[in-house]
Amino acid sequence: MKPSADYILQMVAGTLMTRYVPMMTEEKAKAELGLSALLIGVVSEEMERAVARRVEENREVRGVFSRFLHVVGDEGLKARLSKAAQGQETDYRVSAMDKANCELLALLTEFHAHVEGLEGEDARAAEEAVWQALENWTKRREFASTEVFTQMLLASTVEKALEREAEFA
Amino acid sequence: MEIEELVKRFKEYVAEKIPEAEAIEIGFVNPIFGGASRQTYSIELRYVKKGKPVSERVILRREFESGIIETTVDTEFKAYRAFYGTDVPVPRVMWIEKDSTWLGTPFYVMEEIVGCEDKQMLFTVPPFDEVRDRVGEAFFRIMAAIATTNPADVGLEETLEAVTPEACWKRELDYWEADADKNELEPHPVFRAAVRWLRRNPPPPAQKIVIVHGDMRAGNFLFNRKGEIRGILDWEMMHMGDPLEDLAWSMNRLWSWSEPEKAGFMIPREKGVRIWEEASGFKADPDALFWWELFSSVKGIAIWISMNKVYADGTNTDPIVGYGGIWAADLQRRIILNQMKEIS
Repeated sequence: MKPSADYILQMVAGTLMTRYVPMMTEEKAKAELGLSALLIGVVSEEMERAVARRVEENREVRGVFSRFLHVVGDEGLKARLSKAAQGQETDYRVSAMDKANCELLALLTEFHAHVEGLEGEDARAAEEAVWQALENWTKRREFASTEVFTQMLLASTVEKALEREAEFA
Repeated sequence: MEIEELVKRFKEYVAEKIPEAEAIEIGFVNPIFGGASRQTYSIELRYVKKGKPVSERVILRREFESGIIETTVDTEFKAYRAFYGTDVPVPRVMWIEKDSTWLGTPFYVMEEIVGCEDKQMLFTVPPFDEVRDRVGEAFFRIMAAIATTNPADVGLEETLEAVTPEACWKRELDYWEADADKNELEPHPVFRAAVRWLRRNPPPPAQKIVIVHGDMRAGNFLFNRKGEIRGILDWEMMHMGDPLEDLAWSMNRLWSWSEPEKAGFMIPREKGVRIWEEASGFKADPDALFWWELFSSVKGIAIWISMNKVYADGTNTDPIVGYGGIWAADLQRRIILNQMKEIS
């Protein structure tokens, strides 16, 4: 689809924010429309990266399982990790990849808890690899709009506070 | 509930509460934006009493049909009633109504404190930055006053569930972990790693079991341009526990994201801790405080998970809940990752 879906959402969010939010006179309605525009902006951001972040993350988590399978003492867990490590994406719809992603992250949590209880250099290396994956996990879920929202909130808060101050002066 | 219906029913309620009032009118009803735990309205109430016109500005706080946090208005009401007239400034409460037939859910009414602000980000810009130090110092002294209030002296001994100094950390951690278990829409591996670390490294027993506000932070009090704090708000999570819990929560970097070394954009964290220690007589052991700060991130994430859940299942689709949950979860994830990197 051209223009692309994420572009259209960005335009809709921008139009709401710049054209219609200033026209609103009731404070709650104005704020809710602004937040709805930001939600559309978040969806646009997520849409662009939805496949990429799941493919990257699923690959990274499977890689951690493969590299450190030998560290795992629990045979049941080892078998599940081994099976998960061999998995690969065959259905590229976001919903399907999301399901796989959630399963892998649940298993990563279990693996993490397991290696925390183990001694030795290999276990520490496994923990380090998990933490690297978790740092990437966090970064992949950051939104650029978070900073935009913070600035918007400040501007509107100051405006309202000064209005109120004038009212009670 | 639509505003027109709320006005009609609230007038009927006021008529019952003030039988001698005549010609009851509602001057205005302004929804107060931003609350995710209650629906809050600023209301101008006008009536004639014994031949004299009366005009009052009141705050109506109504429970959501589906709240983010499982609390009742009863806890808040009792907190306001308990602290009114003490060194902990709070608004005067008027009525509590647990019968849902009036407004659909339980609610309470209190006086409105006017001429004040609550948003902590104002401390970063003129002219409000002039009072940030004064407000910050007052804030930590008030927090100490809450922690040193004897529950029996303010009528709260029957309200708040007892807990031992050894068990208070576990009770709180169990509660918020269970809350996340119930509401999680996707795995949160950093949150889970933090919970495990907290369990492996419990804090020392509380120095004393005290009243914990539960949401004591910049943004939850009213301050004026003189630098005075006129009202401590949002008591719905009040409970008995470790005095460090409130101190740590107040310093969660989420409340001062762009100036993380200032507690709530007010004063340096170290200065806040020093004021609190001097005023309360308690000690903030750095390791114990770190434990409670990490716990604060865990509790924060559990709350943002709940916001995401109620938005996702359609029980509360207010945009503040939708966007607020995403925004706060993003920042809190970054904060908890940094905390875990410090110790792992």
